Amino acid sequence: MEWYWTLALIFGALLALFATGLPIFACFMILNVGAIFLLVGQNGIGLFVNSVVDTATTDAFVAVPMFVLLGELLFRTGGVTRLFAGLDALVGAIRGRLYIISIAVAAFMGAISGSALASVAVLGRFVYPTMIERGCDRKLAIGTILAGATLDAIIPPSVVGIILATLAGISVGDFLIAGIGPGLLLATSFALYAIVRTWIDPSLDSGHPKDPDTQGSATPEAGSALRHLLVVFPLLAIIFLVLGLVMLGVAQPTEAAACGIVGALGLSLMLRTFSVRMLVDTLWGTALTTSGVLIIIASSKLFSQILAFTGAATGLVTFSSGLDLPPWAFYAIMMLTVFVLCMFIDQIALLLIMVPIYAPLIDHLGFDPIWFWMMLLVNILFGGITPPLGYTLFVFKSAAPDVQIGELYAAVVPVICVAFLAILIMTAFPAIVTFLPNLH
Amino acid sequence: MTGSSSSGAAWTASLRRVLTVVAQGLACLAVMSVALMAGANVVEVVARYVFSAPLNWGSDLSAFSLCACIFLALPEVTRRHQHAAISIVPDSLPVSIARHYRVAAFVICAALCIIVAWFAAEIAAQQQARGVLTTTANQIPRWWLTASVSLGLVLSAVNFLAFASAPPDGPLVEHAE
Repeated sequence: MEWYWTLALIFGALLALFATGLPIFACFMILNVGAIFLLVGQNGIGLFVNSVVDTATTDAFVAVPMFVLLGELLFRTGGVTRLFAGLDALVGAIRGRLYIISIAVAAFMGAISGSALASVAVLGRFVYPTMIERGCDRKLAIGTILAGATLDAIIPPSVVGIILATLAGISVGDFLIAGIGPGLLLATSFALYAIVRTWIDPSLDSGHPKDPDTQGSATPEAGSALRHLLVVFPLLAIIFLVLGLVMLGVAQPTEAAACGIVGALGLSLMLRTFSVRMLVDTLWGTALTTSGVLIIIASSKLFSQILAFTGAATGLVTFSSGLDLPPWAFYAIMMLTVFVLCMFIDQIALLLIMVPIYAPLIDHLGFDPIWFWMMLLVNILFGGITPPLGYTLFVFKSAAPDVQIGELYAAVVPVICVAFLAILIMTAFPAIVTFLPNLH
Repeated sequence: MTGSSSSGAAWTASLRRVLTVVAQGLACLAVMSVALMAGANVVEVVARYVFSAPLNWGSDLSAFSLCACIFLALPEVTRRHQHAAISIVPDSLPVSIARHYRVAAFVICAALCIIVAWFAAEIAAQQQARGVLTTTANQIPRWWLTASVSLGLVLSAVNFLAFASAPPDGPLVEHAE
């Protein structure tokens, strides 16, 4: 069979399996066990079992539970609530303040939760109603919340970033640090968008806060701002400690996360939110999240070997090298492909499919791997909120049932345009991504 | 007829209670694995950066604990119906078809888990018989890891079957605390 038929068959079978609604780990298991059985016979299933065990004992994946644990701890210490209150007071009475706060909180929550879907569900249920209650525009509120939550896997520490770097065989530390530039660019772009919208049409703004003590004031006192800064400081210090250790090359990401865990435990003691029950709940949540994510990765590991074994991956590289297309055209095609696919495929599942296919191509095309994989990650995340099928949209819809689907679509289109502009900037200036990792 | 259906329901309820106890018991071990991983990494940081004496067992212990965490928590993830899935198509099916579809999907998942668990158990038995050890600096019998895969999958399969046999209008997850 020609390589392109093999590739189409494997790819089509996997998409069809996803569409059945079976758990993603089961889809990968069916494909991999079926393919290895056809290619090698019954003894091949042993290869699958061994690939599962090898993946489940991969040292690099230990970073996943460590960062999930760090995020869970920061959530349960009450740190996020304090962050919201602190930012709310610190931002003061500038135009579009609640939109900016929602972007910041959504980005922070996403960064520590590691899942845009989880963040969107929480924000849609809790932050969105608060914004509407305080007089924010519905569409602008939806757009800023979804945009902020989408930054989850870009701004470090990011669980999806760790998984992508491990799958692509690049430095996890460098890849995490590479997310800072794009994350800041995107967050700033979304904040500017909110400011410009409220500047053009002041009726979109939420007006003055209702409760000056907890929601800031038009003219915040210096002492009050300092007090709120002190509340936010320990939380930010933990995040910067983790990032700083990785950035300075002092510690591996897993070790940096361990330091963060100690810091988060110290913070919970300081805030008097620590209890044995809280610790057990945190560990419990971490174990279930780790199992749910890594069973997918363990089940999919053989996929790349099957692509290689059938000759599909080699065929694709040979075919691509024979095409008389400039690298930017390849880049555009590759990004467009993932942008479309991620509208209806889970981000981790899509990474597991696309990394083995794209990895040999980017070597051939001579792209900087950290830059390329970061751009892919950004694309995947924004595909997830792109109408009509972006499935993160449906999570928001289920969290905020009063929002009509048409309203949701109209709300995210401007945000997608802003993100597209930022992606073009990062494409034209790759240093935004590569500058920090190249420092060490 | 009513008596047999009520005894069937009681049997299903009992089975679910047993599955809950077993899944939560194994999840407790997974929780200990997470604590072990975190503890090992903290000790590693202190040993390496405070005492300049890196451990030679930290990363191996973390890797083994990771495997234990994934597969010991798996039955509880399944019992709570927390596996990631793309359910746009099944969600759009008419209710009458969706019920049958849901049962068929659970049976397929159960069958798949049992098949892979069977092969994993066979391989674990071979590894035990041959005395195969892991290729890490600190070696343990490899069958311990392979057996955890088998255990996690077979108990997940039982939970999938429990979903398949659940009443069509009843909740899938009864005690998702």
